[in-house]
Amino acid sequence: MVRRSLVTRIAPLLLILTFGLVLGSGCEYFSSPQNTFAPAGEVAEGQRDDFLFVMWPALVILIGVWVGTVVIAIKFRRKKGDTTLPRQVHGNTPLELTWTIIPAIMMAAVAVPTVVGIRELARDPGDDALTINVTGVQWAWLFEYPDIDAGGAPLSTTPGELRIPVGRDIDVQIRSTDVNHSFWVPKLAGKTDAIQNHPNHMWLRATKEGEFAGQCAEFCGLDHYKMRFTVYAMPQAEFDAWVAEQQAAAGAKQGEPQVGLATDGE
Amino acid sequence: MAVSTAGALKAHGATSESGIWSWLVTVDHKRIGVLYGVSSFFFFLIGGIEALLIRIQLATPENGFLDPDAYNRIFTMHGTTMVFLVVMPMSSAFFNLLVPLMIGARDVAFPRLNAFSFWVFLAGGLLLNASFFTGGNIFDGEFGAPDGGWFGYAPLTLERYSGGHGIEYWMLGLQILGVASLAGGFNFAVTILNMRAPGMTLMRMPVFVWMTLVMSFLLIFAMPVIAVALFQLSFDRLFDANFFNPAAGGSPLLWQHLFWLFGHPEVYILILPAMGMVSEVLPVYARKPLFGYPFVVFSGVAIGFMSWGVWAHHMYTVGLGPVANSAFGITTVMIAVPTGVKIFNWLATLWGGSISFNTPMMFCLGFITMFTIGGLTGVTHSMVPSDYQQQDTYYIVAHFHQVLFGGALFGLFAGIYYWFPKFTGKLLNEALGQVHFWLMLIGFNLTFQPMMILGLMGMPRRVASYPEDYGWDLWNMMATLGAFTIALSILVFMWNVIVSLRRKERVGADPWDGRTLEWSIPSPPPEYNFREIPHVHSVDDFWHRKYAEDAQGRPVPVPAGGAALVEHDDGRSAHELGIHMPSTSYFPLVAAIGLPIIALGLIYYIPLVFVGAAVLLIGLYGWVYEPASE
Ligand SMILES: [Cu+2]
Repeated sequence: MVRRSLVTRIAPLLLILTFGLVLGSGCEYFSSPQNTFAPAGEVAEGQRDDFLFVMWPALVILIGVWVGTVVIAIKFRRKKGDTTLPRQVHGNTPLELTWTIIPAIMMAAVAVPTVVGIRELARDPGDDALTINVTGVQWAWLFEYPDIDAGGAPLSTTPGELRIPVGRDIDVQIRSTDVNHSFWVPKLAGKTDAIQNHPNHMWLRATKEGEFAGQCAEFCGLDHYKMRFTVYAMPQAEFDAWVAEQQAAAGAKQGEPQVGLATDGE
Repeated sequence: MAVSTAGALKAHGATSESGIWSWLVTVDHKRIGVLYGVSSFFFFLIGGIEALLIRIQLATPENGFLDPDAYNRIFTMHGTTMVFLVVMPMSSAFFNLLVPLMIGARDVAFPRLNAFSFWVFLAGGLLLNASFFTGGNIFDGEFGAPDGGWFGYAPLTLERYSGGHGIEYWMLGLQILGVASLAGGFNFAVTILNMRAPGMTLMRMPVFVWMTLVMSFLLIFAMPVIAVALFQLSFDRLFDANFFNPAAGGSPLLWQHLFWLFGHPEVYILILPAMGMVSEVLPVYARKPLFGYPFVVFSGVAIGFMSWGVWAHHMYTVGLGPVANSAFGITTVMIAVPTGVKIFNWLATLWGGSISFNTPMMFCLGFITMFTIGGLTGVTHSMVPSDYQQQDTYYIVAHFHQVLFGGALFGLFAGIYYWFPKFTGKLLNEALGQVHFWLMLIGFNLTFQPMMILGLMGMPRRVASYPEDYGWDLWNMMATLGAFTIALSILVFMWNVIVSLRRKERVGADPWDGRTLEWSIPSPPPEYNFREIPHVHSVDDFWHRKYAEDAQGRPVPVPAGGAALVEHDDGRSAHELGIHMPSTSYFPLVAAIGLPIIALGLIYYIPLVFVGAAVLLIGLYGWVYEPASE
């Protein structure tokens, strides 16, 4: 019925070429400061492994369905001049039950690591955890260390710059003072939303030193796309030195005459 | 397309009335179907142009083609348009065209309500799009379209964070569209339950009709949920209420729950009709009945029920706690099972068939292969811990386009190519159809598969621009090239429609050796559809009138079957044949016009609300007291 036009011959080749291009573009195109497949933190590592746990079987099923479709299409294509009609099969209940139950079991297998992973992410950070308050505002990220005093007020950083020690749990307390935002450092951990009147928290733990890009992941208006920040993960000693430096600077400042409300700290 | 399709219907004696007036007052389900189809295609072009603008902006890093404000408005309108003004009404077009024909009825249960649905839909769609020009100060070069995303998360949609009138057009436009959907949902549920021809039991209905029934109930239950959310938002914005204002103790999370409690059934509202179409088209070109009809039907029903229990998988990262996240992760993984059943049953339908690869069949194969990617990426979302990474990234954008484009749109195009001859009497050109299909398939893969990689490489959604050294350039460029390939394929399709309608040759009633009742009446069908209401004896009743089965299950032509059974249209009108058809009415149109006037009144000048309400009431009053028949 269908004329075997040039199109039907060339098109599948083009399609294969498309996929080849997508898959074979070379590794350099897979590196990004926000690549979730190149984790530098414990949480992100677990999340990558969880993803791969589902991705590989899904890929096998996908290829199975594709190969199946193509093979069936070729095997059962109508030959030229054929006027017969095939046997009319209306169904096969045992077969259909099989392909209902087997996927259901496979899906149940996904549910187990899901629940385990959720519990792990919801665990309390360790006793030695460093607490950080993160505040999302249109359009910047503010960070402060509520347990580190710097001249009578909690130590805070330059907006958009977060410093953390490597190898230590960080207890991240997340809030917003305006619209919804989402705190996300792809190489360290998945995101958690910042919502006004709905404080959230998450933990993360850098396993490597370095600078890690983060970005607001919840659409928050005009400059949402610019709401980036950097996490500097450094050895504890280096972090301590930085804290001391900040405290000294704040103390020197405190010596100067204060404008506005006096703080209750020393 | 509008004019020519109308012309094709008009040229045939079937719809005796012609001229614009006859379209304004029509209550004929076939004409309303055409109106739905043409308007949704018009909105498809608008939404497509918005997609191209987005892709041009993102083609290169740090691009200044669109400023962030314009970008935010355009992506909001792209999503809103494609969901509410394209896929939903395009499915409505098919319900209107097909459901009465497939169940052996002469019209829907409530023909005037049907016209009302369409006009309200059109009013809502035009109101939404008018916001580009009227929502802001266009003379200052301001686009006024809404800028809160199609999901409109509060508090970003509150007046404090989004000035201008864009969000107001959005919330009132969606509210109006919801009225259209609700009216349509009730109409089709009642039609399917009450108007079936004698002998057409529920389990003898075509799968498309089944999926329409499931979808109608989803509409009936889902639209009120978003209506409540939109009313609350309206009160917040217009009358200073504080439902979503956290500064006054309101809850941003309330919006998210309501929106997704509507939004996830909505996904199945969008995909189920296309699944129904694939289930109709595959058996025809494989020349075999649908494998496991009850399984396909019940998996669709199961999806309908389960779609209510997965909404919070859009909200894993908002902090619902580990118990809620676990529960929704598990329901999400389970909904993959009935979806998988459909894929396997479709493949089994093809197995052992004698398959012709006409364009509708190619689009069905495209659906099966591309939708499977969407289904499997959906399974990866049920892995909650890793979804904390993918949430709100391009991975999600890729996923739902695999479902809604690779699934719903491919299915809808299969339907267009398959049923086009039924309603125009002309076949779409096969060679152009194949070009369209392959271009669209290549364009689709080139656009959306790179997005999966982008998402995994950490690119968030809804960003107006991205930095140069983030490694996202190549993939974005690829996606942009893909989007233009898709656009090209749509031009080929439009060209095909024009060329095909201008062809002289007409097709008969049953060009594909069809299985369902619509192929037993002339193409295009007469105004009254069936001269005699058929008696139905089985699933695929028309096929069984043409073919009996021998002991081995091989079909044997029935001597007096086939073409001999097709009713002839001798040009006599329903009146001449003594068939009672519903009278035309302009009151649905009048009533529909009242709604956007009320909306504009709420936005600009409250007294106008009373004018709109008066128009609505006059329309309804005239409607109620209209004489029943000529
Ligand atoms: Cu933000």
